[in-house]
Amino acid sequence: MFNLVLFFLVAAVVFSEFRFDWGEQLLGRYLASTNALRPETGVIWTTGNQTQRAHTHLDTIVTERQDQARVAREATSFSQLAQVVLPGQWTGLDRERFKALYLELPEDAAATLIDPIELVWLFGTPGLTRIFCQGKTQGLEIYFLGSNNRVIRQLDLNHQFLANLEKEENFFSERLENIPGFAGRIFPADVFFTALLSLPAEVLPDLITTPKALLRERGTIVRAGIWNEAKSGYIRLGFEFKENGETRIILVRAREWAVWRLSMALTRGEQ
Amino acid sequence: MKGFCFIYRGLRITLYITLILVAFFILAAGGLVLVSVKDLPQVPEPLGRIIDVPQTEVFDATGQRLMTLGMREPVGLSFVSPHFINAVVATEDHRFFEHHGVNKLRTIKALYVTLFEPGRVQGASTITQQLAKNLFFSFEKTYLRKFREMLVALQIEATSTKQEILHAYINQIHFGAGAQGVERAARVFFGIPASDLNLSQAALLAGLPKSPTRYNPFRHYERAITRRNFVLQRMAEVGQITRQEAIAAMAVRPELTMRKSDSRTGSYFIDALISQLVEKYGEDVVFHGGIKVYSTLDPKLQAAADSAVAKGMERLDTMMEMDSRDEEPPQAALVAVDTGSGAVKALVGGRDYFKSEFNRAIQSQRRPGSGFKPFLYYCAFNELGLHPGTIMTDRPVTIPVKGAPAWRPQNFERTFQGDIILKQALTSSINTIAAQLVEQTGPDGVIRTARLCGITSPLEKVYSIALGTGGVTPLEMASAFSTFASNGVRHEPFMIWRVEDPFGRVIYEHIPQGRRVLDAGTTFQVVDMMRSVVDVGSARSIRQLGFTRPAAGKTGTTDSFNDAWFTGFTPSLSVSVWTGFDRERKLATRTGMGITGGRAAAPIWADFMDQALRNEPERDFSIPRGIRFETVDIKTGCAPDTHGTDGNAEVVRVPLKENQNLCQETKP
Repeated sequence: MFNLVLFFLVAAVVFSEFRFDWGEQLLGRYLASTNALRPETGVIWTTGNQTQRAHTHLDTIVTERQDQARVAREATSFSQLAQVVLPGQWTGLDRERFKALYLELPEDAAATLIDPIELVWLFGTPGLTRIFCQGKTQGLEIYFLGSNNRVIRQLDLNHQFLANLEKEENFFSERLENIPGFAGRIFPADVFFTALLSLPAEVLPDLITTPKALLRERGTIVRAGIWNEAKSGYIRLGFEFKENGETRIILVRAREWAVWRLSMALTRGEQ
Repeated sequence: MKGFCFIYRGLRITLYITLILVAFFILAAGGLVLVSVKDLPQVPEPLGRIIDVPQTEVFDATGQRLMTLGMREPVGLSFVSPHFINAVVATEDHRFFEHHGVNKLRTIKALYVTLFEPGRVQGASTITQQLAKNLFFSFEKTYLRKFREMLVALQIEATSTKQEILHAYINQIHFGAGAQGVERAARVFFGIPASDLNLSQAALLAGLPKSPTRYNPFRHYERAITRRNFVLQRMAEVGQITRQEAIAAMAVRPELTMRKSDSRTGSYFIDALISQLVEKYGEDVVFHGGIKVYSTLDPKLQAAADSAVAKGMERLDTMMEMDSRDEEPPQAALVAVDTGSGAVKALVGGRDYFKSEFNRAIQSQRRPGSGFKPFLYYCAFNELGLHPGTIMTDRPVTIPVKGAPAWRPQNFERTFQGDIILKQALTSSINTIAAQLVEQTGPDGVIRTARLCGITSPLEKVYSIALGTGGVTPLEMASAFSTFASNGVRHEPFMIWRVEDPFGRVIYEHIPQGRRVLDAGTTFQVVDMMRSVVDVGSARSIRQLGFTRPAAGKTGTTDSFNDAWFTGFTPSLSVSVWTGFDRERKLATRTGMGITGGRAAAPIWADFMDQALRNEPERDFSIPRGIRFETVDIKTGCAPDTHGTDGNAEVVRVPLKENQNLCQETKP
């Protein structure tokens, strides 16, 4: 009797499994419950990992670019911009940001980089779509781009140019004697202005092209100097201001021919 | 009674043995489960995640999608023809909707056949098991792997619906020919979406996963049809279609797309572009990153290039009387570069990608022959103060070479013309004059000029470099001549305008940066001489073929006729065409007469340019400031009617720079 019961029981179990697949379902559910504990192996996980790695790599690139763009937006000078946009890196530059950086440049440096009139034209041209700067081993390059990334105008800010900018920024806390470019051509303020005012009135606007830059400064001008080199038809004049025992220098550009007249007047004055 | 007891005892023993066996089987299976489970792969949840792999897309210059990398285009079940679903289920697993991952009876039968009938193998994998195998396991055939596959199938069935399983399955099975997933397969084989598959097409596709290589319809069409008929028969047997429908579908012979093989991309341009991307970002990003790549390829120009090369090759075959069964036909390569930016707008790397994926446009360094002379002439003008009107003598030349036999270059025609101006010397491609020039400039000067223009292949410092004995690629030549076309401004050739990540954030963009590397005036003088090559020189076949736009260029044919080139440009497009055999073999007619670049390559160039520039406004080369034109007698180098030239003197116009004059004693 026991054997029969056992037989039918076993037969019922086997039959019900074949009929209802409860064994497979039970095993399937058990495996599902252990799923999270098992390793991520197999072709599909390899592919998944490759996708994951690809996205991580892409995110790194994008994050670096966004960081660069942020730092570029916050840069207060072209020198600073060149420090953050390293060779091989690039970032877009907002028009207003470029204008602000450009206007921060000393006038002669600005004119060397690009003539202000040309810049006015560039910003006015409808073809200009954006400004793009790229780090190079020799410095920084700024591109004014039209449609299809066509370069309308390219500005090269090489290391020499940037180094000069740095130097010029330092001039502000210097004395004229410390700047080799003025050596031998430094005059007391009264001598300088006497000679200057002896010149015909039409010469003066070409000599002090930006009088506002001087008027804005506090303190008194104690000495003035003439730079020993001309660039693009301009020569720099340095004015040493003194206030509360501290000195600083303001540089302005003067037309070469006007400076030549001034030098003649100064020579006459000395004689 | 005794007999009954004996039978009863026998049955009881049988029962016990059976019970012991069942118990043993259960215990063994349980043990195996416990052993296997810890190494069993984790199943992604939800299952749909497995098809959620972003696709890298490549676009052409007009924004049209050229191709998707990754071979898969996931599609919902509702976008797949029901014929295909029915065909797959009928063929692979007709009890799919009834079982829970394993078809036990079929498994037991397969096990019996495998164990007791040596030589016979019977498959019993359900669709879910196949899915498990494709997702997680290698194709190694072991009992343990089969068992693990079965366990994963049970888990998938326990956690996913039949619809989800089928959806995952049809999107990841391999159909061969580089197609994974039914949507991709439908497009690759029939050029239609999976939703449009008819019964015959669906049955053909459903038959492929069993052995994608063996049944590849591109290679074994009849075999694929036989398999398709088997699928249709199965569908009729399981009642999905009637016998009549099956017979009607068997009578149809589905038309395949023009694709001829299971190659990767079908395009030399895309191959080159993928190589560049992989070099820049690595394979993971390119094949799994879902990036969007905006290429420089101009579809109109690419079509023109394909067509021009195909026609040119037919012409060359005819010229050479090639046998169609010849296993190694002549090849060609063409590269078109935008002179204003350096963008590669069309690229053909061989006559048939599906027969040879070797990209001759960028991987094959072949001797350019006289095609290299423009670099020499520029160098000579720039460094020796010569100009197109300078007179030199075409005569036998022997140039001593230190530690080697003297170099005695020969003219192509084996004749000498005596005194002749340099413009005419380039137009007629006179080798002895080129040799005299390189003797003065030195090979360094020529190589320096070539490098400035963009030639990057290794070049040996030998005099013969001036006659093009250093191997270069068509891409280099097109790009270097583009520097002449843009009056000395060099643009690096490039194939990618922009790359975006899957969210549209730009990770790379190309800014075409022009760099002046050659003097504009001198460059213009060389360009003017190269115009003469096209108008009346060795590439005059271009004019004879009816191409009338302003164009300049230079043919090149190596001494052995192994390579025949023409590289030329209009103000907007620079194109280099190479023809020759992959192995060392002469391009020649049956009579043994060598075929030059002017005959083999220049017509391809003309054909391409004619199509490429159709509907484009005609532009002439811009003349740099300070250039003036003067008429010169080609034999005296003086203005006509001076130095006793008669009225029949052959004269040409030459461009001169401000400090240059005709008839000066500059004869070197």
